Formats: sequence, structure tokens, C-alpha cells
Amino acid sequence: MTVMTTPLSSRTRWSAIALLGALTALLGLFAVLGWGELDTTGLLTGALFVLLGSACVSLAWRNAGLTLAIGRWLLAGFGFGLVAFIALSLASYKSARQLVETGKSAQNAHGVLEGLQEVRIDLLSIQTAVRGFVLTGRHDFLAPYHQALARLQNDTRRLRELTADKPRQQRRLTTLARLIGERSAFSNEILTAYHQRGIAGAAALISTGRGQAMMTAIAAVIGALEHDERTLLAQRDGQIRALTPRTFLILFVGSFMSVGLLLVVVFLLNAEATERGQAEATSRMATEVVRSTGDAVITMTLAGTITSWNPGAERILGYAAHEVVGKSVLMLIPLERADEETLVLSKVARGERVEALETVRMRKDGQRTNLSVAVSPLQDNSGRIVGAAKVLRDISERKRAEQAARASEDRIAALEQHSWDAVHLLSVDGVILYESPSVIRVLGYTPEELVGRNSFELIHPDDVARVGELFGPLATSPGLTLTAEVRVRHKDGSWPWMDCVATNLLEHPAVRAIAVNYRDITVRKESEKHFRFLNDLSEATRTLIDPEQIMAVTARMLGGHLHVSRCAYADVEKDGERFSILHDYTDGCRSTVGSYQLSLFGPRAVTTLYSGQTLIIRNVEEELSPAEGADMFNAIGIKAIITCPLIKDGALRAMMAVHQTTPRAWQPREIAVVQDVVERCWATLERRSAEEKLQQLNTELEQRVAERTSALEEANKELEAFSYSVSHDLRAPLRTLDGFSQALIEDYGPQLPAEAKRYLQTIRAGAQRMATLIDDLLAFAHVSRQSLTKRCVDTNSMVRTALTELEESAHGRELEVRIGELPPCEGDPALLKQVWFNLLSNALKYTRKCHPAIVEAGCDRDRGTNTYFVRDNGAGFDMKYVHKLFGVFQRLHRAEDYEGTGVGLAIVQRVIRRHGGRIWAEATEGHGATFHFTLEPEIEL
Amino acid sequence: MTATHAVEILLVEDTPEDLELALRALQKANLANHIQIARDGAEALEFVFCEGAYAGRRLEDGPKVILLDLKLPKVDGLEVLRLIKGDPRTKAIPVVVLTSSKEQNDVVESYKLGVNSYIVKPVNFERFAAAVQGFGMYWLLLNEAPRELNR
Repeated sequence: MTVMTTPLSSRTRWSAIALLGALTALLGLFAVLGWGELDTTGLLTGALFVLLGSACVSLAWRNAGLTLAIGRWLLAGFGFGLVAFIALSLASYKSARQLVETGKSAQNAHGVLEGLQEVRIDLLSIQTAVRGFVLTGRHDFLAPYHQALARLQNDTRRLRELTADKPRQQRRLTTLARLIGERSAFSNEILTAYHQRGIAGAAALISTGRGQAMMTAIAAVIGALEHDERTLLAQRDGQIRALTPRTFLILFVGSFMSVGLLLVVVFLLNAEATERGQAEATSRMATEVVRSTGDAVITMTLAGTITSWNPGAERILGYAAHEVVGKSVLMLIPLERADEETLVLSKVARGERVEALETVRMRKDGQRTNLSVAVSPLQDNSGRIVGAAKVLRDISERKRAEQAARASEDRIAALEQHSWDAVHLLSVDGVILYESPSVIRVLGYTPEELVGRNSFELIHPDDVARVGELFGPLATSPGLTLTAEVRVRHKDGSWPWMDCVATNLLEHPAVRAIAVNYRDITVRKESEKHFRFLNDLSEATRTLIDPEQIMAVTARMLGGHLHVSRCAYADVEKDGERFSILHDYTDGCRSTVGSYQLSLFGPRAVTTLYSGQTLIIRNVEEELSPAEGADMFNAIGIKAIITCPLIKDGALRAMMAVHQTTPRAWQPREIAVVQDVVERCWATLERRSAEEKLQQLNTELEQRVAERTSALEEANKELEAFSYSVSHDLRAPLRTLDGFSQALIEDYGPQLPAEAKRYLQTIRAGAQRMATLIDDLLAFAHVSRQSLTKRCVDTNSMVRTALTELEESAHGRELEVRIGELPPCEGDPALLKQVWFNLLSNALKYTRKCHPAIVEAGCDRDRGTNTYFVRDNGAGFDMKYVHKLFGVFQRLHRAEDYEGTGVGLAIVQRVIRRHGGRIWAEATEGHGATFHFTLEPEIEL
Repeated sequence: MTATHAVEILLVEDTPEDLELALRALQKANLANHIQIARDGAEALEFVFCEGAYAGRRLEDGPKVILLDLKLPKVDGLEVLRLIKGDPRTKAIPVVVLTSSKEQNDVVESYKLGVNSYIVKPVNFERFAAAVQGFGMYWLLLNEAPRELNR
């Protein structure tokens, strides 16, 4: 629906083009009228101007969009411009052509002059050559003669061509040609004379002077020729001098004009394109807005026929464009509102607008939807009102929100009515301005009873000062919110605790008061108090050790907490009948410390307490008959009682009793406190008693440990003395045995029979073996006795050192040693070295007969524990005897096969056990053995 | 063997068998020329400090080396060592402990008191003889005594 009209400024521009065209034309005409001839450049320029002119006219015609009359004017202007271009082209062509022609003529004249000069030179050459030959008789002088002859013929022919358009010059050239012929014939004559009569004959001919006369005639003809050509040349030069600037001027003016015209056209076209682009963009934007707006945009005729329908309308009303365009708008309007539309259309027909009309329309699905409608008239180009443009906005959301707000207000009112929280509004002085209806549930008053009273009248006297301190700053700080827990007078005379949240809304336009929200927190307060008391009680008894003291403190604190006349903890004896009160709390009445029998307090007390229930009596005289124990209670001046039993393992073990000398309506929480306290008191006493027992046990244990330790030390000392003595005294006789046997052999060897010497050797061997056994045994004892000094041990280097020491003894054997990863460990370096040394030396010993012997040391990581191992492929052993492996002096091989005392592995095991580790072995007889060990307790999973 | 005449060894040993074997070993090593024998710690001290039966002796006359058993009657070997090494006049005399004991306590204590060598008597006689010969050569022939002793 875009109506495009060319703006006025554009017409002006195109008219300017026409004017420029006209000027150009005039200039061109003027130029053409001045000259008669045209050349190529002129033609090209003309063609260019024709093209430019046509383009201008065509553009002007297309873009001007003027009325026919203006268009004609424009066309005429451009036609005129075109003619001017052509004229200018012709003029420039003619001028240039003239210049070229004149130049050509001048060039001809120069050519003729040069030709004449050459003729003169050639004639001289002929003369000179003939004379030279005659004088010298040498034939080589004749070569220039022949050449000149040939050249002369060419020269005369060329001169004729150059002067073909000048008859007088042609005539002169004919004369010249004749004279040259005569001169040549004369030269020939001289040469013939020379050949016939020698130099004298030739000289006679030359001296006749004929030749000279001929040359003079030739010179005259050439002079006449030259004179004519020179005159012509001068004439032509003058013409060129006059013609050149004019030609350049025309070319310059023409070029300048065409470039100017071109620039103007380009500028105008560009401006036009920009303008049109903007207009199109605006139009596109408008279309896009209509397409993408959330509102419905509809156009219709005044009769109500829909003419356009945007996507917004489709969304809001549910119809697609093709379903409604061309149909009556009444299909969207509920019956009862048909009049409304008629009214709107009639308003629009009068040119009025309708703004923000809130109405209802039917959707395609039959639902009604709330809309806000704006209608404006649509005019055609002539300004006549032809239809209406409607914008419909969906306001159902807003309507819903309004409804929700109303519902919310109702809800708030209902909540206020039925809430357990109450709200009141206070003036800056604390006077109640408003009270919510729920106050009756919170404080027992109706709102009417409170409004107008000062709120401070209701606050507990103990809290008034505290609340006053808060109220001061609150009343002077708008927006400030404060909280407080306050006791407030209930209509029934009690003082329930209220949690109040007060906000200064004095400056809030809708409130202009201090708003106070409050709720009853008495239950919470009471339970807080209850727990605080229990906590205090625990704290107070925590450090006490003496049971009597614990009972006394508990009774005193509970009595004080409940404000009772007396409070006592009673310890029940094993028979469940007798109980004793060691301490009690009284507010001044008589103490009940002493020993009692439960049955004296009547059957009701006995059955209640034995069954684990709390005995609660609010008034002895009303609730108990004399036989039921009233007498007993009266005797100790008691009117109200709570007694809590404590049953453990089915038996009554303790009781906590509170007494009042006046009747008292016990509250449930008071009863609960007594129950809690007896439980705790008993637990504390039990714990103390258990702790005491434990303490005693500990003391006994420590004593026993000390005794054992000293016994062990004694034994250790004895063992030390023993091994010292073994070390010294047991070896001396062995030395004697060995030494003297040796002395016997040395001193008396020759006299002894061989058998005697063998016996002596056997004695020596026995003594030495005994010595070895003693050494090993001492080493074993030493391992047990020595204290452990644990350090971080570099297992890897320890194993390598041990192997280096051992490999010397294995020199010459076929041995393969494999060392795997050996992580460091914590242990006693000296003892661990012995472990590795013993295990590796065993491995080397028992692989003695293997080829190759393989000894491997490494470590497995199993469930976080390092398990070291030493493996060999040697003799191994039968797993049947594995239990004997680590015993002292236990051997699984015969001494003849593998020497040893059977102490090495016992030492290894002893060391590993002392480190908290474990050692075990796996073996197959004849196929090697593996010893695994750990050095720390393994983690049990 | 020009220095052999100057050799003077004090051998302190209570067990007669060990004494005999030690002497035999020393003889085999040609070291038996000037041997003084003490049978207990007290006698050893009297000899070294020129007291009692040895009152006529001059302190300067030796011995050049003392071979000392640790387990001795009357005065214990370690005590003998302590007294010799604790006296400025005698502390330069090399003392070689020659004992059956391999007990670390003895070894450590001996070295603390300033013993010069510690030799465990092997049961095997050949090795015993070799050990005696070894230390005899070292302390009597090779080791140069401090000057005050020579004076």
C-alpha cells in the first residue's frame, strides 16, 4: 500500500540537467557554425556527447515523473543539449582535420626541398667522378659516377610524386629531367673520348665549356623550384600557427563540458538512489512493524470489510489472514456489541479517531478476549476517507492481574480475620489506631476493646522500660524495623510472650502509622527456659564427683527453678521398698533428709511409682484419703506433690520429688522437667560410679603393670648376666679343647696314629661347632633384648649392600640377582640389615646346587601395606614342616647338605615381630622358596 | 728382628689353659722373649704401677704393650684398663683387650676407657694364633710409641 510520489526537489534537479543540456547545445552550435571540416577525434567526441545526451534524456524521462507538459520541456531541453553536443563534436573534428591537412602540405614542401638538394649533390658527384677518372685513368673513380646516375633517376621520380598537385612545378621538373639527361650524355661523351684518344681528347671536350653551361641551366631550374616550395612552406606555417590554439580551445571546452555533465548526472543519480533507498527502508520498517507487533493491526473499508490482517491479529484472534480478508468485521464482534462497531465506523467516517476503547472480541475458538482498540481513518491519495485502521491490544493478562489483585485483597482480609498472628497500628505516641480481628485469638480482646488505648498499658511492667527504649528510635526513624520479645497482658490475666516486629510506616501514604506484627511465642519461651535449665544443671553437675554433692546441687537447682517448697532426690535400695534422702532443697520448710519406707506413703504412691508413672497430686486433701497416704503427707506438711520414679532393669532405682506446702496446679512442662531431671541425675550418678570403678581398675592395672615391669627387668638383668657368663665362661673350655688338640697334633703328630689324629680333629670340629651355636644363641638373645631405634631406612641400598657382602662368598657361581622396587620403610637399621642379610644368605646357600641360581628381592603393595619378599629357585622345603621353619635350632635340611645352626630365621622372625610385622614362607621342595614379610601391622578390612 | 730384645709384654690372664695357649701363640710369633705374666687384675696393677711385689721396678721400664683379659679375679679387667688409662704416667702404654666376650657392652666400655685394640679370642687356635701374631707385630714393631715412653 505504498504510494510513491517524486518529491519536488527532484523535479528541480532534472530541470537543471535540461538547462545545462541547452547551454551545451548553444556552445556546440556556435562551434559548428565556425568550421567546415571534421576529423576522427571530432567524430569520437561527438559520439560520446550523443551517448551522454541520450542517457540524460532517458533518465530524466524515467525519473522526473512530471506532468506531460513539464516532461516535454525537459525532453526539448535534452534534445537541444544533444544537438549542441553533436555540433561541438563536428566543430572539433573539422578544426583538427584542417590542422592535419595543413601540416601534411607543409611536410610535402619540405620533402621537395630535400629532393632538390640531393639532385644538386648527385650532379656535382658525376662531374667530380668523370674529372677524376680523366685525370688519373683509374677506373675506381667511376663507381660514384654510376651510383649518382641511379640516384638521380629516383630523385626526379619522387619529386614528381610530391608535386603532383602543382602543374607549374611539374613543368619545371620536366625541364630539369631533360637537362640532367643532357648532362649525363655529356659525361658519357667525355668518357668515350678518353677511351678513344686518351686524356687529351677528354680534356678537349671538357674545355669546350658545354658542361659548365649545362650545370648553370640546371641550377636555375632548381632555384625556381625551391623558390615556389619555400613560399608555400611559409604560407602553411602561418596557417598552422593560427589553427592550433583554436582547435585546442574547442577540444578543451568540449571535454570540460562533457566531464561536468557526467559529474552532475552521477551526483543526481546518487542522490536519487539514496532518497529512494530511505523511502523504501521506511516503508519496509513500517511493514515489518505491522508484521511483528504483538498487537493486532487490521484495515477495513468503511462498510466493515476486512482488507488486511497482520500476524498479531492472527495470534490474538486466532484467524489466519486468508480466513478473514474480504469478510465482514462483524464476525469478530459479539452480538451485544454490534452497535459499538457501527458507532466506531461512523466516527471514523467523519475523520475522527477512537482511542483505547476497552471491549470484547470473539476469537476463532469461540472464546471472548479482552482487548483495547484504537481506530483511525484511512485516506486515499486525494484525502478521501476510504477505510479504517484498527489496532487491537490484548489486555486479558492485565484483566487477570486485576482480578488476582482483588482476590488477594480479599484473601488478606480473610487471613487477618482468622490468623493466629495479630497486627496493630500505633500512633507515634503508642496509641492503638487499628487492631486486626485476630487479636481475639491472641490476646482475648476484641479490636474495639483495644483501639484508642495506649499499647504500653498492656506490656508487662518488667518489660516496659526495655520496650520504651526501642520505641523512641523507632518512632523517629521512618522505614526502621525492630523486633522484640515482650510479655503482654492477656484478657484472662496471664502474661503470654509475644514476638513483635514493628515497622515505622508513618511516612507510608497508605498507612501513616507504626505497624506492629505480633504472635504468641510462650510455648517456645517455656521450652527454651526448660532446656536452658537442663543445660545449666548439666554444667553445674558436670565437674562434681561426690554423688551426695550431685544430689544436693540437683535438688537445689530444680527447687529454685520450679519455685517449690521442697525438692529431693531419693535413692531406692535394692529391695525397692526402703529409700533414703541424703540432701534436699527447702524454701524454709522442714528438711526431709532421712530414711523411709515407700509403703508408708500409701498404695497409690506405691503402685504408681512401681509402674514407672509419675505421681501427681495437686491437692492432697481433695485427691487422697487418709488411708491412701494423706496422713503421711500431712505429717510432713505437703499439699501438692510431683514424684517421678526411675525404673531401670524393671526395678525402681530412684525418685525425684517436689513438694508444695500449698495446693498447686502443676503445669505439664513442670512435670516434664521433673521427669527429665530424675533421668539425668540418675545417669550422672551412674556415670560417676562407673568412672570411679574404671579409675580403680586403672590404678590396679597400673600397679600390676609396674610389678610386671620390674619382674621383667629383673629377668632381663638375669638373662644379661647369663648371656655374659655364657659369652665368657662357656667358650673358654671350648678354646682349651681346640687349642690343646691342635697342640697335640703339632707337637706329637708324627708319633700319633692316623686314627688318633682324626679323633683329635673331630674333637676340634665339635668344639668349634659348639662355639658357633653359642654365638648364634647369644645373637638371638641379643635381638630380643636390644631396644628398637626406628628410623627411615633406605631398603634399596640396604639390600644392595647386603648382596655385595654376600656375593663375595658366591664368587664363581652362576648367579642371577634380581632386585625389584624396594620402597623405604620405618625400622631399626641394624636389625633390619640382619633380616635382609639372613634371608639373602639363606637364598644363596640353598641355591648352591642350582645352575643358574636365581635370587630375587622385591616388594608387593597389598591393601596399603608393603610386603617385602626374598625368592630363590633353590632347595626349597616341604610345606608340611613350615611350622618348624622359624623355631630356634630347627632345621629342615641335613647338616651335610647345607650347614647352619637353625638360628638365622628365628632371629629374622624375632626382629620382624618386634617391628609389629609378620613373616611367612611358601616353598616347594626342590623348586625354591619365597619369604614374605611386612614391617607394620596390616590393615584389617 | 733387631728389636726383639726390647720387647716387653704384660700378659694378664687368669685361666691357666688360656694362658698356656696364649704363650704358645706368642712363641709361634717369636714374641715370647720378654713376657711378664699377671694372673689377676691386682697383680697387673702392682706390676704396672711398680707397687707391692714389683716395688723395685721403675715405672719407665715398661711394659711396651699390655694384653688384658676382661674377666679377672680381684680387680676386673675394665677396672685395670680404667686405672692405666686414667694415669698420665701410664696412659700411653698400648692396651689390647683379649677376651672371650663378644658382648657389645664390653666392647663399648673398653673403647670408652681408651683401649687400643679389642680382640675376641677365637675358639679355633690357628685363628687365635694369627690374631696374636697380628697385634704383636703391630704394637711392638710397627707402631711407634710416644716419645715420653722412650725417655
